[in-house]
Amino acid sequence: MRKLTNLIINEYVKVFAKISTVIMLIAIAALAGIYTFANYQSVQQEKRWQTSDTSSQLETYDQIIARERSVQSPGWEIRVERYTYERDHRIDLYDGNWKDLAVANAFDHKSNALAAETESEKARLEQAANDMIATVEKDDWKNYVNLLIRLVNQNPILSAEEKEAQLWTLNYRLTHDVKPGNAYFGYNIYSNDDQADWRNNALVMLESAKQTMNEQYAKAVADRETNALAEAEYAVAINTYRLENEVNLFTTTHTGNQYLGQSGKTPGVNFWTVFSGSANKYIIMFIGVLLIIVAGSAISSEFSSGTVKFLLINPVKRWKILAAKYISVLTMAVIMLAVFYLLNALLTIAFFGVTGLTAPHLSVAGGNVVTGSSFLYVAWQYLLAGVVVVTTATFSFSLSSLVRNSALAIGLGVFLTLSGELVTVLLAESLKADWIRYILFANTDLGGIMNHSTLFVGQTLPFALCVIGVYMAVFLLTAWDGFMRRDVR
Amino acid sequence: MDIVLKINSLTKFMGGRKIIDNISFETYAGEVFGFLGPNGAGKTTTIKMALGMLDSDGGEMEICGLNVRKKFEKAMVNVGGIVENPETYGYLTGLQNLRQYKRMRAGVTEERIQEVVRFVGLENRIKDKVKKYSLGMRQRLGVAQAILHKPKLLILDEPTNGLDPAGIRELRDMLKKLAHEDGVAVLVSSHLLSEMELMCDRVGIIANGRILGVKSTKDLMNEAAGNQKIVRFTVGETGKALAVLAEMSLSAANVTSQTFDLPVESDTQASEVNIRLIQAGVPVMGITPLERSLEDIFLEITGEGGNQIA
Repeated sequence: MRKLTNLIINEYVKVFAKISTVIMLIAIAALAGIYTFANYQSVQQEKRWQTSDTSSQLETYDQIIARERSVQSPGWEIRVERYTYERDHRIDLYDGNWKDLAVANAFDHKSNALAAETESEKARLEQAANDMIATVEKDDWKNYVNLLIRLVNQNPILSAEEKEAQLWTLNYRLTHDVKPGNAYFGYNIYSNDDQADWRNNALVMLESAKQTMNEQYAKAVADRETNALAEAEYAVAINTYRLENEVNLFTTTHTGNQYLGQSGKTPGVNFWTVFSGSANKYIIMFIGVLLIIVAGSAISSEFSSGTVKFLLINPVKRWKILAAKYISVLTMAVIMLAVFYLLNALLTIAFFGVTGLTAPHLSVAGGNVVTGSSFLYVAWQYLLAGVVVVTTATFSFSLSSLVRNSALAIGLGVFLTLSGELVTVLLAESLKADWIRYILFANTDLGGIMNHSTLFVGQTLPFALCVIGVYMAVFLLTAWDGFMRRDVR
Repeated sequence: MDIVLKINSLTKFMGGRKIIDNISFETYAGEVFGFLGPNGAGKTTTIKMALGMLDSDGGEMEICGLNVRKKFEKAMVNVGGIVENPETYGYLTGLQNLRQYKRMRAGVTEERIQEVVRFVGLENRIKDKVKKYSLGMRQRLGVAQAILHKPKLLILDEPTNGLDPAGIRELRDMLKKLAHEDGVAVLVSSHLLSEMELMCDRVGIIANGRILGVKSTKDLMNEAAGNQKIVRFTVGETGKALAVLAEMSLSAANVTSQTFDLPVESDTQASEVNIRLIQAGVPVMGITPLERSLEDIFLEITGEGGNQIA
């Protein structure tokens, strides 16, 4: 054991004495810095854009009106009326405030009134529209919400269930003082410190998800393969939990869910979107390239420089030397991922502050929301991304042992890392053959597989891990054979 | 004397050709053993097989009584050496290189490293990167690496490569000291015979993958002295002299206008020739006995078996 540890120390000394390793490490650190800085910059950009002056907004209204007049698509008259009203009353286009919504809603009612079949219905809709405009002019959003509650209660089409769902959110607005407004799917920067705003986001997404559940219900039963229903249910559970438990920032595993914001995390750019985004496989890939360089030259460089003879002249069995080399590659992968994780955490704190550091990780199990640590969640993302890194490094390691040529082992390893998944997707799409699921790179996107965004139907995590395991075994046996049995010339 | 390295009927095929043919020899503690042969004779291949770097197709190797194949780690504890060129990690310093070996061998202390560095005379450059070393310095570092753990068997493959004459002399003294004072069995392979003549206690001569003979250097030299002597005559005119020799049914070699070499059985025969030459009126300016070096013997011996290579 002592001997093995010493051999591993030897490998570390050799790797880190090389200038190329140091340069790669600096490049990886710089990449982490650039990634965080780019996110920070995009937020600054957004803020500048949000504070653009109203005179340019007037122009924008004029342009919209002019376009409506020239295109004259059905209902254009009402829309021109609406935009003219908004322009004249200086309703901020970008603010996404409740007035914009209320005016839009009012003019929707007006246009519905034109198409109404009975006089009483027409009168009811017109009255509603006028009441809405009145609340806007009085700048009284609570009255607007009360109006909406009344309309929901009066609406003959809605079922009791649907009514209850809509009333829940409206009453929440009144009791928690949350103005209606546009929700920003994924890029609302105000959710960082504006308490009312994240609630509005959660409410809008909750409403939208509940609506989908109703609309999708029949369709989803008929067509089991759609994820829409499951996603909506997930979003309803999570957002209800957030609203009831006052959870602004959070992370969740369910990526690609539109009702949770664009990236599946809490809407807006904040510590957690940036930090969990750093587990991105394209960023982790750079660690992979460094590891491939280490693994791909681990054995072959000893042969090409002739130093292998001075390794083998020691009282150490060959398999121990091989094991030490592989273990050093593995531990290096773990250490580098851990260091990269810490570095990104610190950089993100440096740029985005400590707001929301305690945000929980939310997931849904058996209909209940389960909370966990978001730091653990991101660490798990790093591990999942690290599996590809380790697999390709093992490939290079075995090639290094088999052909004893560093350039070939490193070159092929990097090539596979960069193109493996792309080529597999292209193959799967062009050949549509089932055997492609057994290709290594059809199984390496573990993060995607966990979120059910898979290339093949029924690709599960255990299956993917099995395929990866088989490939790893083949790689390691090849490495073993190449190093143990071949003569040293 | 203790047998340290024992090689018994070692055989190796490569590409259908028998490149090592039934080689057997032993080296003892306290002696410098020279493994001599022309390039391609199989010296390095034999050494690599003895150290388990190459698989053999027959035969046994034992180091300090331990079978190299069956008890590799225990056997290799007793071995230090340089196989072919002294390859080191160029991007590490000399000291870092030695520490690599320190970690792989038991019982090597930092003090021992300093001691070895002084022994090979590298103290001024040991903290420089090895890629800046000359070949001679790398050879010294190789020796330092080889003796780091005080091995009982020291194997040096072509150790004088790249050394200047002073360096060769130093190495010679170093190896003799290790063998004669510290009781190490030293195995030195080389094709530079003049060098080995001064360095080795015994030599094994190898050609075409076969051992042609193992003898002590003294015996070899005596043999050379015992058999035949060559005497160089310097005369006024070789033409007349050769005629005289022909009368005596003797033949000369290396004939020039003034000199010829004559193999003689004894000093008496040389003086007889001298008398006959003077009687025939050939002036004799000098008679010099020529010593036969190990090299001559070597070429003679390997000449029989080494024609294909030479």
